[in-house]
Amino acid sequence: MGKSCKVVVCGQAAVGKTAVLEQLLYANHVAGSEPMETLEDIYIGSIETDRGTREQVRFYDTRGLRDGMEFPRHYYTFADGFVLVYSVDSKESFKRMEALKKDIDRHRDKKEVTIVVLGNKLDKQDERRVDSNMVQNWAKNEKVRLWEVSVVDRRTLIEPFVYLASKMTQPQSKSTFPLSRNKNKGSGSTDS
Amino acid sequence: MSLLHFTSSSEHKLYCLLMPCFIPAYTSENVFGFLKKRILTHASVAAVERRVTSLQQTLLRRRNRHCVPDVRDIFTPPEKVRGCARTHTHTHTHTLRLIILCQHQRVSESTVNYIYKAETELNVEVAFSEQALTYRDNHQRLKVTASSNSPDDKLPNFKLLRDKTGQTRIGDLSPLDMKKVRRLVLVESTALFDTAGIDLKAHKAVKVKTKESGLFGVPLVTLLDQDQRQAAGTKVPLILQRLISHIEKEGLDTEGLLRIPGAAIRLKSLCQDLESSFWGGHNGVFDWQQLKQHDAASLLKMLIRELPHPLLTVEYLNAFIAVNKLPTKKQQLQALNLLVLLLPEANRDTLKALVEFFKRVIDHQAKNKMTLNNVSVVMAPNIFMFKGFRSKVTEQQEFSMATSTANIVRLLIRYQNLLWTIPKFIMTQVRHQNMESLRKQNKERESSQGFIRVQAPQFSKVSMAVQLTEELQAADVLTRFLSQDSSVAVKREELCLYETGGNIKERCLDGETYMKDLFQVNPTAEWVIRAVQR
Repeated sequence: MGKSCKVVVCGQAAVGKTAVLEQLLYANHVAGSEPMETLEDIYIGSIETDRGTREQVRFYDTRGLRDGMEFPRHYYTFADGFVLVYSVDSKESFKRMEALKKDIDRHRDKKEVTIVVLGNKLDKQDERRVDSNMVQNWAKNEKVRLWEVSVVDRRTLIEPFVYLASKMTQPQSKSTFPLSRNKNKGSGSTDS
Repeated sequence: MSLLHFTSSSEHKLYCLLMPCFIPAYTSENVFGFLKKRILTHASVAAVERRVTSLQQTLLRRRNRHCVPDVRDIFTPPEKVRGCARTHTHTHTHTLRLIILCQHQRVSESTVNYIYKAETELNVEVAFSEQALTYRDNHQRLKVTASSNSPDDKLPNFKLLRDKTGQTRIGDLSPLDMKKVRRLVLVESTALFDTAGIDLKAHKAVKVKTKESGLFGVPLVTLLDQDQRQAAGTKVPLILQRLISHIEKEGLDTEGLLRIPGAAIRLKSLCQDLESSFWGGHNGVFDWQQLKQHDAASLLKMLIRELPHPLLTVEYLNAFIAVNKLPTKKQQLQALNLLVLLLPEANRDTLKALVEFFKRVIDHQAKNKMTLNNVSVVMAPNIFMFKGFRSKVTEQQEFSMATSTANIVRLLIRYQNLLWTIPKFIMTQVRHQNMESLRKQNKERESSQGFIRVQAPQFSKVSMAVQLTEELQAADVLTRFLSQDSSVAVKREELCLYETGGNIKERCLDGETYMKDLFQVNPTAEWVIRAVQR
């Protein structure tokens, strides 16, 4: 097993959290299928980072949030990264995501965790309720990366997750162990 | 006297039998403690108690000058019972009376309801011996006619009462729990035979000269040892498998299959050929093409017949035969169920392979004219006769045995699907027993609310939380897992949801198990999806 990063995927109910993961890992999600409520599923995925190394990531697919439900707090403490998902056709889901981002900031130091935001259901352009420019500005202010994606097009999912995996496993710029870092690099490059 | 009884001459054997089955689990507690903890039933406790009492009598008589042996301290039967234990028949009825009294107060209300249900429903939740007692109680004045054993009577279509926690087949449990099952079944079967007042005497182990290697006249264990060297994990002797598959390849429509013998002269040389070249080697390879179907069938029968120890084992052969004396078909079936569980693994698996084969032969009865009765009559002598035994039996006895043993073979073939399962009340007893040891280790954990976490460590979706609903079955959990994880390379049939930990070591779940009901039985279990290992 070794050390694998823990990524919590969260957001409002039925924005497509499970769909994003399934499509990313197995490429078998059919758009428009009935949403099945998740309680908590854990997936193990292996992602190639931009440095060419393969990293194992444990994805915690969480239960979609509904009105009056609070996100279980234990998730905040153990995660190395978060994937916040909203749906471009629902203003409410964006608001919910915003609140989650604030909660994470409250519990964790910004440097400790990597956060990416996904605006899902890009294929429903005509039902769009969340403005693209507005959210990108928001992301800039919050200093997080945001992508608008669609599970229908698996390619749109690759970039955010490669970024996430790369960022989480990025060797710190001033490592206390420069030697071990070099070793890592050396073995990693053969992978690509 | 019965499975657990020992005469004074066999005191040594008594120790051998008592030691493995009672001492480890039963030392610190007395049986009555077990009764309270619902591990044993009233009837079983009585059966055990009676045997311990007679053991004490034996020991006292034999060495009355000696100090008290340790074994006696295990149980503390009430004075009354001990007092009248000298004449066995007295105790017998006396203790049973006591139990019947208890029964009336406690169990009978529920049991009687079950008993009056359709006769063809097999209740596996109440101990067989208790059911038998209730039955006997109700029918005490009615004389049971012997005609129920005539070969022509119809075999009813017995059904298991639907068990929401799923059926447990042999092989679903870990070896550790299987050991406990055997112990409990031994006690239970003794109690069941007691209810009908059947005395069982095990055959004395006949010292037979056995060959160390070869095919015919070789002990089953030796056969399997040889095979496992060739193909690890072999459970049924390869020669038997090969003969069966050869017979099937030639077609099961042949009239009189299994009934018509092969040519005696050919058989003799075939035997020698097989012995020398079944494994190939420098003697060349056995020419299966040349082997005629009826010859193969004869070889199959010979293989079973020539086993130095009977397929049903020396210990239990008489118990199998005595099954006929039980008053109802249902009780006979229940007794067979217990006896099958008592057989050593090798014998049980081989017997299963045989009855499965017979079933396939019978499926072709329209063409081959081999009905259930015919196959049973033909096969019974082969299964129930063995070398050391035949010499002691007169021809007369052999004939009368043939009919009664045929009935048993009939039941074995007809109800094989019911017989190779572990009754629920035994499972419950195992769970209670495990719970006892759990409690001692203070390992009880708090349980989750309304959902279970299913793990699948071998796959990329490693964990899944599943909401428990009334209808959720084990098969649904598997479906849900597979519908999402397409990285799974194995076929669905090879996967199984396992119940592990809590009050069971490990149990492969039947697809129709209701998860919520099982969760209530074993709330601290873990649930794991993985490939079936058989």
